[in-house]
Amino acid sequence: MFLSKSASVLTVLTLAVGIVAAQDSVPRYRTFISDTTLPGIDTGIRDKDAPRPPRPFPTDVVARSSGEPYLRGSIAVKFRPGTALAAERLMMDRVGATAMEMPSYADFQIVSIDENADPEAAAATLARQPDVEFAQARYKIHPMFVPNDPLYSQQWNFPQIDMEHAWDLNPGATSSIVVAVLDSGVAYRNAVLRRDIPSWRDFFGTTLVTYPALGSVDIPFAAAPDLAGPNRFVAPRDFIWNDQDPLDLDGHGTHVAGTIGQLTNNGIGVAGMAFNVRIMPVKVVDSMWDDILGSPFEGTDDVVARGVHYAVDNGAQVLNMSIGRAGAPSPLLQEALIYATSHGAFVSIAAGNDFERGNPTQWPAAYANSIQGAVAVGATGRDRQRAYYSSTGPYVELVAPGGNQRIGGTTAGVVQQTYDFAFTDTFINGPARYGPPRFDVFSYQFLQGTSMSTPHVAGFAALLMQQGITKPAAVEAAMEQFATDLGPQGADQQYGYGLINPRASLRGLGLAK
Amino acid sequence: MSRAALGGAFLFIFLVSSVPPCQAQNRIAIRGFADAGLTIFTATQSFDAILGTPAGAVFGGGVEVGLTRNVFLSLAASRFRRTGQRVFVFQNEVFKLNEPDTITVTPLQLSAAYRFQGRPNPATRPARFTPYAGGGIGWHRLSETSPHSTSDEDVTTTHAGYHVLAGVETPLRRWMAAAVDAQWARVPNAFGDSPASVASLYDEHDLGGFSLTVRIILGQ
Repeated sequence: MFLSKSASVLTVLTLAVGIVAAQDSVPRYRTFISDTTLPGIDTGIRDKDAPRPPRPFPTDVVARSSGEPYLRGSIAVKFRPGTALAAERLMMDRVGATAMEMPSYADFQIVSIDENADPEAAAATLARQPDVEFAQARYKIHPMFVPNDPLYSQQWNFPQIDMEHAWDLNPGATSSIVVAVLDSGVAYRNAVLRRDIPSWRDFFGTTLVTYPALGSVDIPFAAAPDLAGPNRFVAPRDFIWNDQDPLDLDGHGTHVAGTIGQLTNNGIGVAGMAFNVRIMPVKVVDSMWDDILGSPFEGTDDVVARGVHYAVDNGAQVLNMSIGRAGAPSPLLQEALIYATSHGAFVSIAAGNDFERGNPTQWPAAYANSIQGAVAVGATGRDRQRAYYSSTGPYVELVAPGGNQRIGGTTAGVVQQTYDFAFTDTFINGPARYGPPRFDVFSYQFLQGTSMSTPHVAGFAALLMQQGITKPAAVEAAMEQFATDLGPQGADQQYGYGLINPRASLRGLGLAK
Repeated sequence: MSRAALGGAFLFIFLVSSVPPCQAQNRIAIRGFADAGLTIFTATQSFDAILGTPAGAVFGGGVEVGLTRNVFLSLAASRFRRTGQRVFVFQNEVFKLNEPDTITVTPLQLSAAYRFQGRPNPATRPARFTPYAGGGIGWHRLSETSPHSTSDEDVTTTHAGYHVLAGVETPLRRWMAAAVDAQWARVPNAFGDSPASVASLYDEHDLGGFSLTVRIILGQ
């Protein structure tokens, strides 16, 4: 049988499309219907806001409300180089593994196991095998800020570390420095997402309630007006939605990015530490809205580790990780940090906000003091004392302003531009007042947490790299050598080497002084 | 006065006091000179870190007073000035920072020296080269400044030291001579103990060094 000419062409085209589609194995989980919207709306400073109740912790309660610190149904495993496939399969059989895949930007495998199996036990079984370098459960990572609502004159944090004089020496670095923000995304561009929002259930107070389905909704996004500029953002990547659109559906990442590089001397809003750098938004943690909208991935150790690899491979010299968790150690994250620092990237990591919750060891922060070029950052309040929430331990290496609203009220937080939470956290007041979010309305919010102190150190690292200290380990040494000692004399578990002193570090050493 | 400076002072007094009271020379000879040369600082690592070299050009001048045919005093001022960069040192690696650092060293030195030359003999030609050696004391002014430093951060200090010298002089004209002068100076404890100092880091404390200069002398 012969096909007509047009039929043949059609067949060939169909086959070609099929082949191309098959090669593009990365599934798309969402589609933006427009890249253009009106500019973001700025509703101003929110220094009179009543304090909001803290968000549930962990935040991913929608449809994933196991309350467990890890994902079920899979674990992360790294085999030693040269391990035969047959040997790998044999080991997989021991834990009842059904599938194994190596995701992008990873040198480890994600192994599927039974949903009812204990991931920690399965990982422990595998970890005992001689051909396994490490195996661990896929622990969930969370933003490090203490959510509480309570411009430059409002930014007590910069005078506290003498930034005005530091900027004399290095006025905000340059665009040659790329700082990756591994977080909940960044409000870095305009877009409209059309999405069907289903109903979902969550606790409102102590009552489990149902939030109604909202149907097909156009969700507007805008770039943060005081953060976005020409060529400001580089190599954006979203590991929660597995695409190139790491839009912030929370506000945490946008606030953090602001402290690192908020546009400064532009006549609006607030200042940032290293205001000329380029920002690489890398989304590695999910937020409430990611969960509600059904993001395919959650922020787990392996996702964060892939984010670290991605950022380093795409030219970031500084990584900000205002994220972390308590619980079991994570060799995945340890390896990722070693990968970053050994490839020339400095990493700033939040020390944690759990001092009053038993002060458990925080990961990946606890790895920082054994890795030159990675620093765990605690938080100080406006009084230069450790903030009440700031985790302590031998891994705390430096402190920076993170805010302490318990002592100074709302304005004792760190102010930056992020979303106006009245337009994003529509779920906060229960189902009756619940509606679709808007991610194009911005305000200046005072937040507190080691999430807020960490970007001070990341911005500081960017300045030091621009100033000439190009190796991560040397950056860390320059920070620690010139830190202002606080607390007991010398390094201690509350303040580490002390409060960062950017001017002294940027000035470095002279012949005699 | 430091022990080193005291030693220099003793050497200076010894040379001056060694002048016999009645010499053939009836009058004091005064000559002026200008010199240029190279100095290598003893604090090699510290200067190298900041300036990229432990050595640099020096320019100066002064007056020389001949007390006798063989003994002379000199008062000389010179200046070393060079701009490098402030640094950070980590595991022996020096990271140059984007902050210029200008170092100026201005020694004012009083020396006494002995010129090895015999009495003039009309029967023989005067010696073409006349060696000399001596020593003395000096006051070395150190200045360090950066564009963005505050007055508290700038350095301006003066330290006493001593030196020994030797050289050889040759006449060029009736009123002009040239000399090559080598000098070793020691200026102890000149850098202080600031933690923001490469000198402290390298445990170097001496602002002195070795200088080799070419001198043009005017006068008879």
